[in-house]
Amino acid sequence: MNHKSHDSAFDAALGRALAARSGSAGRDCPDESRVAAYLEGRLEQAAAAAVEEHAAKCASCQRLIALALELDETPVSAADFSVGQSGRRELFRFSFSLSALALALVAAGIGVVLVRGLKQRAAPADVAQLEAPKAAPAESSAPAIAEEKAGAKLSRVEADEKRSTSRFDQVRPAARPDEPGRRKEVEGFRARAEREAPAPAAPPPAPPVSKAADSAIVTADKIARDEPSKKKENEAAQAQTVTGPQLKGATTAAGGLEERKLVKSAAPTPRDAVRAFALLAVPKQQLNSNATQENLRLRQKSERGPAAVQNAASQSQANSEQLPSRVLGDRTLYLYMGYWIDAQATVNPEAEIVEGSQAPIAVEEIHKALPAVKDLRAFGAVAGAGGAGGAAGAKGVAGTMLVYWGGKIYVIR
Amino acid sequence: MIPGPALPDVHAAFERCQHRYPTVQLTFEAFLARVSEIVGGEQTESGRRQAFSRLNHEELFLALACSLGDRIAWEHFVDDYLPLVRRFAERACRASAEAEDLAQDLVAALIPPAAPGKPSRLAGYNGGGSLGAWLRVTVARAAIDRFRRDRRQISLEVMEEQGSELPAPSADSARERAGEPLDARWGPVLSKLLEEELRLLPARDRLILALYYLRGVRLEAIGRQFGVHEATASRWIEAARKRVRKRVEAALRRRHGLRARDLQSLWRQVSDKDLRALGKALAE
Repeated sequence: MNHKSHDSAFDAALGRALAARSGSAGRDCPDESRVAAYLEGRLEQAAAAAVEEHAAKCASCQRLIALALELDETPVSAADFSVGQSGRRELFRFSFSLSALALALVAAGIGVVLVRGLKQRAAPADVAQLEAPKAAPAESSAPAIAEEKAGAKLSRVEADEKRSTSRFDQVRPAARPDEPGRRKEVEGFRARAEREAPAPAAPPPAPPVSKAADSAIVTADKIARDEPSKKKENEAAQAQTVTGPQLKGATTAAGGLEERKLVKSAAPTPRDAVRAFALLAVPKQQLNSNATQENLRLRQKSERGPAAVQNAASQSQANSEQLPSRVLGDRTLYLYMGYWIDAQATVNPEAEIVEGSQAPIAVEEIHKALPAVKDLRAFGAVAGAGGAGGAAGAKGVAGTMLVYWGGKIYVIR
Repeated sequence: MIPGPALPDVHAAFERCQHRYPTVQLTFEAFLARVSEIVGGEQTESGRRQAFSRLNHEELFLALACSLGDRIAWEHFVDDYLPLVRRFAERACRASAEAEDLAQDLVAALIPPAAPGKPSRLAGYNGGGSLGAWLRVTVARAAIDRFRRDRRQISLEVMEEQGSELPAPSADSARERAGEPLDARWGPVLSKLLEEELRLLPARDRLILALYYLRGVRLEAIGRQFGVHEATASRWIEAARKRVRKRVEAALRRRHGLRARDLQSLWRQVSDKDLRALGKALAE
């Protein structure tokens, strides 16, 4: 029994405690007008707090608010996330600042790792540069001291240039997206992705295709960095690069790594998709904060490189609401990177991913709770429009679903 | 003197309302009396003015005219708001027949009184929120009341059929009670700790947790209410939940000397029923 089952037990206990707290508050219940004003955010802060304080312990008012919320047919627009609700988010400001702090720490950590790597790799190159002048006098026979001084100065300048070049190369062992070779690869991937992607019936969901390519590369790079076995290979490749004679082998190894990245890019794994989707679903109010934008830029910079940073702001502003969506019971699934991803998966993008075929009972449970999943699965395609996002563009797209269930992400094909 | 806002403000608002509904017959005195009743609770003149400025004057005007029996006002209401009532009723009830019944009941309650003594429900609208939102809440209230009434009727019928006052306990519940020795010991402790920690949460957090865990409100609806995306709402809930759990576990360690292993065991035993379902789900 793993800790996730304890989560469920805790949830059950929490539900009971909440229910115990939710008694009948009787005559103090706010009238319909007050509840309506609260739901529309038209009450003053103190009055709204009073309604919340009451509703938090009144089962009757909770039921009323719950049903009234469900009856609301106002479409959710982007403006809803940024305008007129600022007062309501005060309680969560602290958690946002924590998120920002966490992002900053992650960015700083990655920066430290990069700097350490740079130092480790730069050291042998510096040694090589220092050794180079020893051979130079044997070849040079210029007697004049002035010429010697001038030559020494020149060689120092050249050596500095070489050193900076070698450092630059070592900092960037693999080609970056802004280099021609890498750009070709990326374009090749995009072309392949477009070829492989089924033609949508209605206006195509343009953002997912291009974002899929970029995000797949980002996540593939990240995975290549994270996975220990690949890390070893990467280190071996770097060691070979430094030792010189085995440069050819090192290139091959690096090429192999690139190939693997491209393979990953061509078919993003569920983990890639969920991670990228979690990045995409960054709330707008976080983006509105300059500090958080800076953190996000730092994070994306560390993951992608300078070229992608230019697009970071615009890409991060892309919200998952723009994606084709499908409402299955209380869940909303978004089509992203070829997967229908449960929005709740963003709660923990690092949750264990379980292949549905390996866990038939769990899948059965999911089918019971979300019967629509079974229908979609039976047809082998997620068809038709659904949800506010409208999945018209997704009609006929065969999709693998990634459903967050009991603390795990189940892959339902 | 009527404790209300300054007269020029009310006059100006009343003129705007008349401009919007020129054929509706509502006297200024009736409007002023209703407005004074609504904002009379404010202690200061500036408070009354602010409260008055926040009202939906035109919708208040229409609702008041309807409740006082103005036929033209009712026609406006039927054209503009009755479709809304029907849509809300359809969303509140699964069966279309039920939705129709609910809508009819509501119309009967909202319709201007044929005889004095039974005021229209529209008289309760005070212009605080929009008339649409008020109708949404009113439909929700009516649906809940109707559901309660129906459920009571059904249970009475079942009891009559069974010939007993209380249904016999199921085998499942008996087994559950028998299999909860640890629950009996730790259940009250956990309940008390959870109560304490929940009390420490801000009211809004508690409300959100209750809406999600108890009332089954979708994340999308919660997110819409609080002006965020559903993924953000999900993160809020998770954060509040983790916070409560962390504090409860800390209290268990501190007060009862439990270790990590004990905590695991405790959570495992706390809800046998839930774990059975979860065990199936995890297929372990």
